[in-house]
Parts: sequence; C-alpha cells; structure tokens
Amino acid sequence: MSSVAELKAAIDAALAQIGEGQAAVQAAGEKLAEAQQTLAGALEGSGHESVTAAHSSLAQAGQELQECLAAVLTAVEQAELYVSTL
Amino acid sequence: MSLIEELAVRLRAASDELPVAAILAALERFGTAAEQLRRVRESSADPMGVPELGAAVEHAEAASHALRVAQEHLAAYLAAIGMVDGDAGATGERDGREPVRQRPHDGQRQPEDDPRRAPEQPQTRGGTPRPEQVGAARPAPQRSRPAGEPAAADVAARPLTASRKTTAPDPAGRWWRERVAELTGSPAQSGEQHEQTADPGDLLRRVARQARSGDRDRLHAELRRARTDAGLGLAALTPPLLRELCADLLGHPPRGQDLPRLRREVDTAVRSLLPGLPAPVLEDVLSRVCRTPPPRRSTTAGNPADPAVASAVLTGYLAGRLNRDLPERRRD
Repeated sequence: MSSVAELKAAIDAALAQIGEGQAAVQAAGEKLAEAQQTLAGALEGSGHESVTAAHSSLAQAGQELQECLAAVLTAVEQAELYVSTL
Repeated sequence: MSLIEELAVRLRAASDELPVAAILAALERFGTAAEQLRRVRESSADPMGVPELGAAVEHAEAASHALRVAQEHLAAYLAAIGMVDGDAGATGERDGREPVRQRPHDGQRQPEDDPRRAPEQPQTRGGTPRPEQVGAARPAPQRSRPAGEPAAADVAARPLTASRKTTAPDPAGRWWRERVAELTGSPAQSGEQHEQTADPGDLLRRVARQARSGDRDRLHAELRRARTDAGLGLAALTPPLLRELCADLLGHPPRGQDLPRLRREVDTAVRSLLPGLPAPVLEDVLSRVCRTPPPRRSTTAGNPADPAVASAVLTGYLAGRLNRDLPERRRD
C-alpha cells in the first residue's frame, strides 16, 4: 500500500545517491586535471609514444567524465520532472 | 636518489593518484540509484531518468577504463627508460591488475581474461608487458581528499563495480587456489567452492578478520573461496587503506626513511600468516606505501596473486593492531 509521499521519498533517496555519485565524479574530474598538470610538467620534452598515449588516455577520461556529468544532469532533471507531476 | 629515480617516483605517485577509486564509488552510487528508480517505476511508462543514468554509468566506466590504460602507458614508459626494477610494485601490482582492453565501454570481463596469462605475455625490453597486453586495476590512494571524494575506507566498503556477476565462470580459479595454498603453506585442495566471494571489498574484510585473528587455516579458507578477479582486486583496494594505516602507526605519512621501521613492525606477523610469500613482495608493498623505489633486484615476473594477498593480509594485521575496523558493506 504505497502513497505519493512514499513514492516521492523513494525518488528523493535515489536522487540523493545520484548527487553523491555526481560529487564523486566532479571530484574525480578535478583530481584528474591536477594529475594531467603534474604529468605534463614531469614529462615535458618527452616524445615517447607511451607518454603520448598516456596523455591521450587521460584526455579521454576527462571527456568521459564530462559526458557522464551531462548525462547525470539530464537524469536528475527527468526524475525531478516526474516528481513534480505527482 | 638519482634524478631518474625521482622522476619515476613522481610519475608513479601521479599514476597512483589518478581518481579510479572515486569513479568506482560514483559507479556504485549510480548503480544503487538506478536500482531504486527501477523499483519505483516498474509499472510506469515514464523512464524517470533511468536511461540517462545508464548512459552516465557507461561514461564513468569508460573513464575508469581510460585511467587504467593511462596507468599502463605510464608503467610502460617507466620500463622503457629503464626503471623496471625501480618501479615500485612494478613486477607485483602491475601484474596483478585485471586485464583491460583498449575498447572503451567494456565493462564486462571476458572469459579469456585469465590473469595467468599476464606474466606470460610477450614483453617489451625490461620485462614489462606492453600496455595493450595487460591492464591496470591500481586504485588511486587519496592523501588529501577533496570534498565529495570518498575516503579510502569508504571505497573499500563498496563493490568494485555495480554490475559484478557472481555466477560468471572463473577460468583462473584453480590457478588462484593453488597459489593461495602455496602462500599460506596450506595443503592444496581440489575442487571449486560452491559459495565464492565475488566482491573484493567483502573479501578484504573477510581476509582482514582472519589476519587479525592470526588464524592461518581460516585465512586460507577465505582466500581459497574467493573468485580470482575478487582476489586480484584486493591489490586495487588496499593501497589507500595501507597508507592510512601506516600513517596511523607512524604518526605521519609514510616516507622512504620509515621503511626499516615498517619492516620491523610487520614482517614477522605477515610471514607467520603467509610463510610462502616471496620476500621481495612484502618489501615492494611497503616501498609502495612509502612512495619510494623498491630495492633493485634481477627482473623476474612476479605472481600477480602475491602482492594482492600480501597487501590484504597486511591491511588486516595493521587494522587489528591499531584497533581499527574496516567498514562493513553499506546497506541501502
């Protein structure tokens, strides 16, 4: 026997989880940017293919994190929109 | 320390601090949220953001994968400049990582990902597998934790991925059980376990409990019933925990000059639980905790199970000695 209040509470709980995940992704993005800066300084002048590949992988990781955040934002909007219709 | 060793330590630290653990934590949150939303919307036509959340999970998994590939490229670079011996944990922890592919969005482990193959892969100069041949599962120890980033212990309380299957075949299971028997000095037993521990965080807590009690037989039993990927996954969970525990023990973040003391403090206890552990493995683990190059030695391919098991046992021993509990699995 569920109520609208219970439904809202369940969605709010999910949104809280999403918010925590979102914060972790944002923190990961910041940490990644720091690491890229550190590595760029340490590896400046190297033309080694592994270094190039590492930079490329890190850039890809950053891009994926951005797209992850964008998808999360859309998911949150969708869930909030649904709650508003209840 | 020579200039090149300093560079290696710097690169290794940067590689270790890549935010793999934070992404895994986010994945677990998203997985929980998706499950909650699915329960809510089971009979509703409104998707409530679940498909978008699925896309977010895919991007986060791809980011995690890319970070691991980057770590492998950095390890390959260190090998290429002759820092194989000086690469802390190189022959141990790197070999212990789960294989990954260059293909992004590859969240599922494939049957051919038998970790036994890792040490047998064709190798580049210096004995280091090429990045495309092996993968990485090294986590990012978090020395200073930004807002929103999970504590190391919190990360250990979570499964490595939200979608880990417990019924998947374990093609390397026999290899894992045989190595565990050698490490613990216990008689090998044939046959698979009916109930396997599939979650590395759960396994770490089980192993830590037995390491704390000093019961080698039970330790063997817990390790033996682990799936291979969970066992090797210990190497990905323990570095940040070990660094925190060693900092507690020492009263400051572990440094190179702390190695002799750490060795004195833990060597006997770890050896009593793992009499078959090759001596260099513990030294490598401690060196890595201290962020210092391990002693030079002739290059030999290490067994990927060794640093994973040693790190978990060391974590349990230190947690017990410092009277610290590893966190239980979060209940949602």
